[in-house]
Amino acid sequence: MTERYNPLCLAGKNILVTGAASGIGKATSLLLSKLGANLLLIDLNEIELNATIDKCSSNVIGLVLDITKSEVLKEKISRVVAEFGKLNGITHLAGKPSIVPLKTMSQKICTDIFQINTYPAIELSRIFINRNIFAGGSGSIVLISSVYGLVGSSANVAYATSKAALHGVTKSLAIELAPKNIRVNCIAPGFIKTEMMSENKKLFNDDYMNSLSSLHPLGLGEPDDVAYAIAFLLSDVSKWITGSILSVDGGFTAQ
Amino acid sequence: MENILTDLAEIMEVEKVAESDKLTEFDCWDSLTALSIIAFADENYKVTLSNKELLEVETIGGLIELIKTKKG
Amino acid sequence: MVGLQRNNMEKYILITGSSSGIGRETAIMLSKHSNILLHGRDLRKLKETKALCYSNSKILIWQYDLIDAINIETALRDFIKSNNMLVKSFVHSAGYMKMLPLKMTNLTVFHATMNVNLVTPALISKVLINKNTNESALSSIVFISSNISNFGAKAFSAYGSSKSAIDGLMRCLAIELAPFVRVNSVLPGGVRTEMTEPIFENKDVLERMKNQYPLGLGETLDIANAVNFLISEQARWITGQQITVDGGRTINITG
Repeated sequence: MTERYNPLCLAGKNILVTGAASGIGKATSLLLSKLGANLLLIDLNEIELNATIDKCSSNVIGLVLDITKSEVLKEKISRVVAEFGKLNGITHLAGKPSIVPLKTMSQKICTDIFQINTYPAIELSRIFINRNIFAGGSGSIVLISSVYGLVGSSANVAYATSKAALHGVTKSLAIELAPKNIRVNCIAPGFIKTEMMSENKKLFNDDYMNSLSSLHPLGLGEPDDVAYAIAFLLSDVSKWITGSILSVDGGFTAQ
Repeated sequence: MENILTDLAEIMEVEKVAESDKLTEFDCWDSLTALSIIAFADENYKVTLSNKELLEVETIGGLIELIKTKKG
Repeated sequence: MVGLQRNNMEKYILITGSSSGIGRETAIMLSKHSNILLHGRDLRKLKETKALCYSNSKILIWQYDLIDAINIETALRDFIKSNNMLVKSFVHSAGYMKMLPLKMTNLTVFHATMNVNLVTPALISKVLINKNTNESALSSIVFISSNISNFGAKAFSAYGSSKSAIDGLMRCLAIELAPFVRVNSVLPGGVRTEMTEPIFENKDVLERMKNQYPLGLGETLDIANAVNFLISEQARWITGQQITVDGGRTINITG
């Protein structure tokens, strides 16, 4: 990629990122910063969040926040935005996996997963459209679901549903927010190699990783693969794309 | 041009058409029928009609005149 | 001696249908970073496209009518060999569209539509993966499909089915040619080009379109941007995907 021609340039854009401290969120924060965006990074883990901020090159502030506490979300974000500047885009990367067989499923487990994976997407969007938060002009919301929101697998009903729900959020909000020139799109990542996996060698041993990899025509992905797709959807080069669900999954769902 | 009345009757899905018949008064008149007439003129007479021209001619007779004129 | 020569061969992006419309816009954009092999039927228009491309890149012209599916493999193979070149990416932007109600359609229309929209891109892909012709230079294919691919509309039996077909081809090639070649489709909404001009000259249709498209009307640039992203290394883990670029038209039931 030649440096001089960069269609994904995000200079001058203020972007809010949740789940910014690790995995895909961290890679996304670093990439968006490299592309020139000013970032408002949100995560629960203060140490990891600061580590991410240190690696960023553009104007970045952090907000240590539990996004499941929806009652205080608006107030806390508004306060930061008043100083940081109004937002042009948001991306919700905070999320929790959940492997629970049906017979041990409960409403609480479901609700907990929805509290972090699904509802914040709606609440953050609601906050974003406020005229004290949205900078105006063109806006972009990028949600992150999962290929498990598109295909079935065992012991996955809560997670899968919480992610599939985001597809409904994407399409409905895309229509509702189009008059404000705010686009809403969703990325469904396949299996990404993350630090969590390399730290948990017992579960993610070589055999398991190889079998996962063989399910993907292009092998397993890197956090950057999703980060670049997020940057694409946040930038003006995708200005006529809304309501879409883009699988970034090495061909997993194409077969 | 001899069979044109028969051809048009088939497109309009009726037994017969008369030159004074108004296009928009046919039961099957809709955007698809308009498209069929445009395709028919192009295929059979190598003549390009636009939607606008079609609405202006009003009748079967007007349509035939238009095709004749454009055919030259 | 032959080995040395092969290493010096220039790599090009082949863009069919680049004499006008989406193909032309894509050629101009991609010429910012790559050599381009233009293709179309009209030599005068192809030369116009060439003049609009960036001068740092090499531009070649291949004149061929894609309705002729019988001779295409030989024609392309001969062109590549005689120009001592390699093709690294293939964008199929040539399209044949005849809107006809079922009662007016016929075999000739289906033949032409399928040859241009489905068969020749398959055969071009076949030529480009041939090691004797193109070594292993090909790494990415993008088909310009249409947002009608997954839906129905009146008078679209030939065109619509050809676009559904090319997306089926896209998925099969994505699986078959993985991991060395990524294959994706861009699905544009109605964009004003030479091919779609008959639709756009109807004022009533234009009004209706403005209401049905949540983000309003789009431009060829929007499509070119999506192609540019998919072709790039930034989309290295995306394959087998349909990217809809249509201002939200196909997720909209209102208007």
